[in-house]
Amino acid sequence: MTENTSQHEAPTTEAEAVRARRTPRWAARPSDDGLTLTFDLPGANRGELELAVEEGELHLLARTTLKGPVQAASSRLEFEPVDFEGRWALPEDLDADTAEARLEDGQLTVTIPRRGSQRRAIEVR
Amino acid sequence: MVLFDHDPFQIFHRALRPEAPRSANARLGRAMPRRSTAAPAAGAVNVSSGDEGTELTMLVPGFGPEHIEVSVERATLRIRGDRDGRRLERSFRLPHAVDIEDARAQVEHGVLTLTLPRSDAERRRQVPVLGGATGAGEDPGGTT
Repeated sequence: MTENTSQHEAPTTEAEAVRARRTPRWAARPSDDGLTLTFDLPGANRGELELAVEEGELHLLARTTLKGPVQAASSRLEFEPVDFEGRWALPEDLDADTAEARLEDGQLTVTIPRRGSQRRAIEVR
Repeated sequence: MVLFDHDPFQIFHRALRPEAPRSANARLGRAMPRRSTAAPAAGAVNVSSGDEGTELTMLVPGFGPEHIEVSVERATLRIRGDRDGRRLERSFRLPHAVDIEDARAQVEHGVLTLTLPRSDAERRRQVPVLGGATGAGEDPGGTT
């Protein structure tokens, strides 16, 4: 008996295909030499996080392990199993190339220094 | 010495205030249109109960296991979080008393998961039904 080799595996859960995305709660505060952004990403881990800067915009996509309720009857449903996504336009004063990010306990902290606030030696040839 | 002729963050301060006009200069802000549904807040819970007990999941972004305290008294559950001045506190009335010995709490990636089994005394248990015969009947055992 030959197998149909053209078959592919269906996604493990149908829910993955329709998982909603929300812009995460976020806050910005100026620091001595730049800007610090914090994002609430409960359920996110480093392996499922995409963070990039493109044309002065910060792009974030975090897939989470949030699940729907386990039992049939829920007495409270205050959140859905969502992923997080957003874009933020950054002030031009900031040097996004030297941004640093840290994810801890489902909270992402991004620090972006102001242009020129970090001393960078220029090699002279 | 003034290094900048304007506060570079003045722009986003204006943008963050709700009454600020959105001008071409308001550079810091969301480039995507505002979604109709907001992200869930810290402290949001999903609770479901069944025959065995209650499962509760709470979003606690920024809190680790050492920052969260869970306590139960009778059928009241209390969850507290404290980290660097950030505080969280919620209490819930459960539909049953809790078997503390088998209760489980875990915090990972800013999500608290609680498993709260019904206490034994509240579990449904069968009462043996005896016939009307006298004499050699078994001790029905107590359900005191």
